[in-house]
Amino acid sequence: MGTTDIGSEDRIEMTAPGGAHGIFSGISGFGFLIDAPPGASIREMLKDIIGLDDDYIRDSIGTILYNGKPVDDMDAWKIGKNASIAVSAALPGVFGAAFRKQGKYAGLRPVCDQDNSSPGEADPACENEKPSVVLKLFNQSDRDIAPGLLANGVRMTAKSFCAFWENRLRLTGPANIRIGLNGRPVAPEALCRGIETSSVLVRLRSGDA
Amino acid sequence: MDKILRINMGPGGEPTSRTEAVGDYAGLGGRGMTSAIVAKEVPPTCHPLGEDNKLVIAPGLLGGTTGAMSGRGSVGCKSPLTGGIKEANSGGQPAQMLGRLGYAALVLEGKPKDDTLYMIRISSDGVEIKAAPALKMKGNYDTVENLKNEYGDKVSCISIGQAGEMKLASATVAFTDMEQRPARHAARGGVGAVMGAKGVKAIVIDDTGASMRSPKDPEKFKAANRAFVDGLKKHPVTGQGLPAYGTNVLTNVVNEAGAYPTYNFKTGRFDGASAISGETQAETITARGGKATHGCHRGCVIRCSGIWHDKDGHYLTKQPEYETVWSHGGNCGISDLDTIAMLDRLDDDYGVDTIEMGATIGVAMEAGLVEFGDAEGAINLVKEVGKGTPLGRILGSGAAVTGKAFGVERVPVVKNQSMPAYDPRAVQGMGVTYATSTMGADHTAGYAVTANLLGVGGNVDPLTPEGQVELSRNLQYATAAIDATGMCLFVAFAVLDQPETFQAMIDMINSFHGLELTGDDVTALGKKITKMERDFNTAAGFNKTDDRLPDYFRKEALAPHNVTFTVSDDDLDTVFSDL
Ligand code: SF4
Repeated sequence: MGTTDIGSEDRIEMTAPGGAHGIFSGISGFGFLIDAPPGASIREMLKDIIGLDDDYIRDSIGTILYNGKPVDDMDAWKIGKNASIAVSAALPGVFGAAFRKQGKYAGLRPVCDQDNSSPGEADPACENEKPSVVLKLFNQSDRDIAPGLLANGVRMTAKSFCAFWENRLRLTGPANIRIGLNGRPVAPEALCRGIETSSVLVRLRSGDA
Repeated sequence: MDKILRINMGPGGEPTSRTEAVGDYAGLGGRGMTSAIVAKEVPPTCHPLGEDNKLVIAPGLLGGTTGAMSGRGSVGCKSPLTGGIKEANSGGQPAQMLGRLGYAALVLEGKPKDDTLYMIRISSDGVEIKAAPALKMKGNYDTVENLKNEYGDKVSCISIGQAGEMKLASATVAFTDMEQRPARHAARGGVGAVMGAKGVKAIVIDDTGASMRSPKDPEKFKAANRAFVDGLKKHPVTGQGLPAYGTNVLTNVVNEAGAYPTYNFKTGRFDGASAISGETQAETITARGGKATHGCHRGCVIRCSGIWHDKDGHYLTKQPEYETVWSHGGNCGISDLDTIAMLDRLDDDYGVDTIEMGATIGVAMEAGLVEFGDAEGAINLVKEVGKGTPLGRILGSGAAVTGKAFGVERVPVVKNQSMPAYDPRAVQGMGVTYATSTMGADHTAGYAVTANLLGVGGNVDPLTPEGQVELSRNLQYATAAIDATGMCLFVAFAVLDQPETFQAMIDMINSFHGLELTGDDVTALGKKITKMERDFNTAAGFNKTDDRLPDYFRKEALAPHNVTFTVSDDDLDTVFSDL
């Protein structure tokens, strides 16, 4: 798995018994910020940056959306600036069939998306910089991939993190968890008030709460 | 299942019942049975709430057996919402019990002489019909609690809430689940209003003493059932995604794809989607001590359902499904799962369709009755329905009536029935099905993506409008066939991908009934059901102008992909040109 350099953003460290992912289940649906190499294909990003192997990509990923559009050929699509990439396991229903990668029911998608079976061009403006991609992992992909990214530390916009955190607090409370913000302990309810930067680095550790 | 129970609620006398041989309807089950009886016996131009309409409740072909996934029950009639034929189906225990008691169908006919409210008890000892004044204007939960006190906790119940008694066009028929809660509903098209018009508040089914139906070839049936279950368990959708997250697994991805109807179908993305997603829902359920994986009836091995607890850890409702989370969530700008669960509970208790109710609240929000995102306002509007106030009666009559009453142009209905949770501009093939389904806008009508396996995929390029039309047609036939088996439609995912699972499903039917059906026969059955339904609708006055989406889907581009619905009317008119 790739790690993310600690930059100038606020650092959030969560410590939970066994590194329990439970309370963080679904967090990656709010969007992780990933630095992708210029001109990388979607497959390269999934393999080299996220650390997935070919078998997982082939067997366990049912749908990939690039800026909301279904991707059939992940080698041909190059990552552009500010892209959003969503990864999901197989999905039910006509929607799941229509948006499945290389699915035979692609005709059920909107007409405009059929143009997107052709490769995306790398944004020339991105050739010499690392485009920061918003990566969203849904359902089983979240369960399989997010814990590793969180253990290494992953960036999110402060807005996305707080949308996740405040919703989680409202629904179930903080559970058995210890929280540090830039190395200082902070109460769960006060966490988002203490964030001052526009993006945050979130790390989940295993240990006594 | 060789008999049909007919209960005549009048006219001019006391309700009477008679049992007759299944006769011409032999070999039919589920939607095949309900649509055949309605098509043959109900005058298409009759008033849906009048004495000539009939309410038919039928288990599937494998109802009452040990076959996996086979316990869904169909409810059919002429719909008060659409004015056409209707089949709505539900999980829960009643269909299994009806099957075990030997009934291929229960038909409520006629009209009571006055406003007496009745309950019916069906058991191995026979049929008892009696007045039930104590149940008047009770919600489904109280109704079932009363029946449980009287008949014990082993019976199952079919009931209506206040909405059914008021004969509102969004009223449902509730089926009790394994925990004897009225949380499963034959929801669409106002079937509960027809039950209300028959004066029947509840049907108690007691299968004490009845045994499982036995197959013609028990060994073959057992082997086929095992292969079928194995197929469901190994498929990633039926073995993993649905059990873990339920149907709400779709929220995040549909939203990301820009196909999530938001703010009454104004845009295709909702900022609050992740907060109400299946992932968030499953974790919340688990943390509160509910159940994130649960079957809606015995014999379900997928178990896409669950049990939702409130913040104090007490049962509130079943796990709200994707369609419900959308209709009361993103469609109304609400991003709080507790509010959505409360709305689901109220809908189930009053007995209203969660899709229709959520779409109606969206229209009411567009009309300015309350603001988008106003959770308390939405709850209060639904409570109006339960109270039966004039406003509540308008809302309970559905989105089309509400749109007319409040002068709203953007009303997402086809044949007066509200669209579900996929914007047809972003999933065009779904739009074709919404437009042309015999049922009104219905996502399940073309749900069974089995077309290729059924050998009816044809050679049309699916990327063309003709291809979308062909796909929609085939999906509608396949769905009608699966609805006739009484199997949950969600088996379709495994059947789509795994030919051996499809074969196992056919083997189950064949070995149980001693038949030699092939895939082609299954397709032919779906086609026959669809034709009966189309013919009924035509005789009821429908024509091709009813097979259309509202105009604004062609004119207003849907963000973020700025798409409109582009399948032409001419193409829509060819969907059923082979019938
Ligand atoms: S898969 Fe879901 S809807 Fe189907 S029978 Fe099982 S619990 Fe009910």
